[in-house]
Amino acid sequence: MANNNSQKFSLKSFLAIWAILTAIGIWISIKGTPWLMMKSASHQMHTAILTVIVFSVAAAPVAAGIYAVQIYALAKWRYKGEGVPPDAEPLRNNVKAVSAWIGVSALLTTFLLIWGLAALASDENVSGPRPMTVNVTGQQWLWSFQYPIAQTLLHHNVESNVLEIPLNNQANFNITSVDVTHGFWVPSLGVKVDANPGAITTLSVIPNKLGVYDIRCVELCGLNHSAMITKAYVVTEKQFLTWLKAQPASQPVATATVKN
Amino acid sequence: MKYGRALLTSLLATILGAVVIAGIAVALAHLQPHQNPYSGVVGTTSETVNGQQVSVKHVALSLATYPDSLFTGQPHGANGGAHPDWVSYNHDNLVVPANSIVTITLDQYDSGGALNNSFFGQVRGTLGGTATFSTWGYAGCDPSTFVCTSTAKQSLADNGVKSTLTSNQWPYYSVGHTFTLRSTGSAPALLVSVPLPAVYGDKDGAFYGPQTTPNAIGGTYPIQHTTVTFSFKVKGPGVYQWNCEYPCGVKTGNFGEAMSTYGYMSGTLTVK
Repeated sequence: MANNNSQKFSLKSFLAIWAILTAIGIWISIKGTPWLMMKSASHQMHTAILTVIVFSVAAAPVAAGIYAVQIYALAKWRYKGEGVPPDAEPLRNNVKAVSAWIGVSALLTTFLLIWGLAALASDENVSGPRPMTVNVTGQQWLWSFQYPIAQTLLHHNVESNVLEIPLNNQANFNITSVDVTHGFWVPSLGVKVDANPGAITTLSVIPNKLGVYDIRCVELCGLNHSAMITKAYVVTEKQFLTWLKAQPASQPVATATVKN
Repeated sequence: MKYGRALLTSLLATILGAVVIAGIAVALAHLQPHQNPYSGVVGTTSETVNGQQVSVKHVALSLATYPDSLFTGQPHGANGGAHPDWVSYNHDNLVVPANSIVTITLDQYDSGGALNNSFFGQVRGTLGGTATFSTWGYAGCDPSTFVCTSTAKQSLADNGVKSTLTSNQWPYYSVGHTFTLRSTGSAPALLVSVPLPAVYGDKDGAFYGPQTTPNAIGGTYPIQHTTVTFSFKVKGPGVYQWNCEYPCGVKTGNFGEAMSTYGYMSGTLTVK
């Protein structure tokens, strides 16, 4: 078998492979990400989808480079039988290659860090019109929602097992649990936070698309954890008020404190 | 040859591992109730649709909640099975036809206390939005606090006063259990939740009122127990899960053991 080690490295061939794989990776990142993720119904979810796309596009040339090295090596330097040549000189002695590798990695990770921090700040600084509070209670294995605005508008409490919120109005959630830790997740709104017993976690969101969206528990909480599902309805303000008025008055019976 | 044998061995090990993991996943996904299927009494009734009376299937289910697993019929086995002291429903594997009205008459034999979530004090998802509660009260027992100041009056069968209330909620403190049913991903959306009033206990923890011995080994349950009746409509086929939302168990927020085990305080309703 001819000794393929005599074949020199072809930069053009390697770059061609790398460029094709990078193009494929970027195309998958841009087209595949929205298809894989839930449809967006809020600014937070839009930011989340955009962040995944940007991070994937940034990672595409890096991954493509690794795969290009593998493909090139398998194609050009595979051996069979006796007389396998020794390894080439390690790159650690190649100052230019190592400097480029570290420099590009540092720039890339710095960019991703800044993007991530900016996206996080954007999610936390939610400010919108007509903020409305919804109290969320998780219990094995059901979500219940209390609407304090009903006390103001209708002079009685309203509780529901579905979430109903008006479009383009800020919804502020106070979330707790009365037994074990649950995870309150509305995928299409791009919000998720733990529901902890004895504590209140908060989050805010402004839904910007009408529709019906899933609410799931994402913290394993017992036998029927997988059935702890309900719906979030994003409706017009008029529809929300009509729905609120149609709900029966909730008269809470005596409740005990959390027992441990 | 060595290379071929190694490749074959690694492939077989990978396939075997995948089969084992898949088998575990399938078994968990098909976790079944522990008791035999129960379909109640099937008949017909009528309902009003667009101003006209139409015939619809009707299913009458007789359920009960007990403070232990020693009740008549012994679905948990002789002497109450592995957990004779666990609270339990008498049926956990309910099967009803699609597009039928289901009426549940539920006898509740257990004591209780306060809910930790007022949401479950309301009647939800039933026809008319109400349930009918039949309960027994006694002199010296306060329904708003569930406190009885006297010791048990087990010999005074005529001392209780029966009350019947049709309401969209149980307005008092004393909830023994709940029947709370929700759809899983496979079934049309439905939530039914009904609080089940408790039986009074005296200040020493014994049941108030006269007792009877319905089970095989001498335990007693209150003759003057509570009875709740409610109806709801089911649509297309699917599987619903139900459980009790009054946390009277142990561990994990008092929802452990019986509260989290099919066959005791949790089960399924299959619509076929």
